[in-house]
Amino acid sequence: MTDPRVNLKNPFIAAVLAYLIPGAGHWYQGRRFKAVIYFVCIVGLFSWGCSLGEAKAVHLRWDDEPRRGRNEERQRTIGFIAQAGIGGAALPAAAQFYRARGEDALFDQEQVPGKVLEKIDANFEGFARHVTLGAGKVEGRVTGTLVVGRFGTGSEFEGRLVGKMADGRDVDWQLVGSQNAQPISLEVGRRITGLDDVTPIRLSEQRPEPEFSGSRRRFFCQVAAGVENAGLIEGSIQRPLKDHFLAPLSDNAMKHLQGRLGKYYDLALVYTWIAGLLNVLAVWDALQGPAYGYGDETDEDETPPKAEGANAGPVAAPSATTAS
Amino acid sequence: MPLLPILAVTDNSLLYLIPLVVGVSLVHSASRYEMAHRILMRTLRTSFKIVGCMTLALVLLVVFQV
Repeated sequence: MTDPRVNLKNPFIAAVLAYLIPGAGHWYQGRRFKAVIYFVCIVGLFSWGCSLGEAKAVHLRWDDEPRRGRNEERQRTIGFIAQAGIGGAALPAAAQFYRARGEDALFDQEQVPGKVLEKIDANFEGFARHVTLGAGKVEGRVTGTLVVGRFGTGSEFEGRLVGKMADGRDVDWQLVGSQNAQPISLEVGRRITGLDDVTPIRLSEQRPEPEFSGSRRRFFCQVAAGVENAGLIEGSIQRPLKDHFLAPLSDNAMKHLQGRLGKYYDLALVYTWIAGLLNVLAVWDALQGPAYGYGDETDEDETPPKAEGANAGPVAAPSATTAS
Repeated sequence: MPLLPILAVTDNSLLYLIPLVVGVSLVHSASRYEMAHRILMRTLRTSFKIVGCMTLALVLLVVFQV
């Protein structure tokens, strides 16, 4: 039974708040000391775990069928059940999981060229190939700001790349694409497909495997000089955080991540699992109050205080304890 | 002396135990009691218990060369 000295207010509201943000339910109940303990410890452990795992230790993969390959296993992140205990910080992973299985993902895997459904204004990193402007030919690494201003569900677009080549030359190129021209396409996916973060950007005729958790996505189109095609650029642009944050990792990305982080990836998993499980205790405390009582009761393995005088009651708490 | 090689190969991994032990002890104690003083005292005790148990496990592993 809950100690009457503990005011739980509306315990169900407190439990929901405690689940979404560790400590919020206790703050709502006026139990500020515990709220601070829960928030600092649980969010601290979870954040550190995320940091150790480069924000990729928290994700949900749940294959219905075994994957094709050498080890035909279902990839299922059982540990996400523990991580989900932290509530608001882990729930986006579930949302990203459903996005990755949804229609957007199917569309992305097909990588229909020439379709841009949202405006692009991002930093570009990549290569120029066979770009002929004026008197000379330009090739090599190029970085800059890429803007695609005219876009839609049609096959054509117009854009501009302003930046620098690796040798210091300034770049201001008009970009244009059309499905009818060869081999031009604008492969930016739709919203959630990205590139594997660990694979270096390189000139390639092959389309890379879609990687939902990648922070960048492929950009490949032609440079225009008047009405002529002057050459190609291929590289990557930054994706919005909402599209790759806590997104499920592919087998390839998982292999690279574990190889690079080693034991720190395992530590990241342990930290985030424990943080999620600890929040279950916090939610239960918000719902039911402290499990053992208020705290001024006699501990089972402590010597009970001696009664002084005949009128001393058995539950009289030591004054020093109650004062604190 | 037989402890030294094991401690050497663990480099700084054991340091990652400290925030975990403190965090687990604090949250566990906070979910048991309401009074700040009691929570902190129980946290200390729980922390020492966890570290003690893990030290014992390490010693046993070294002694029996598992």
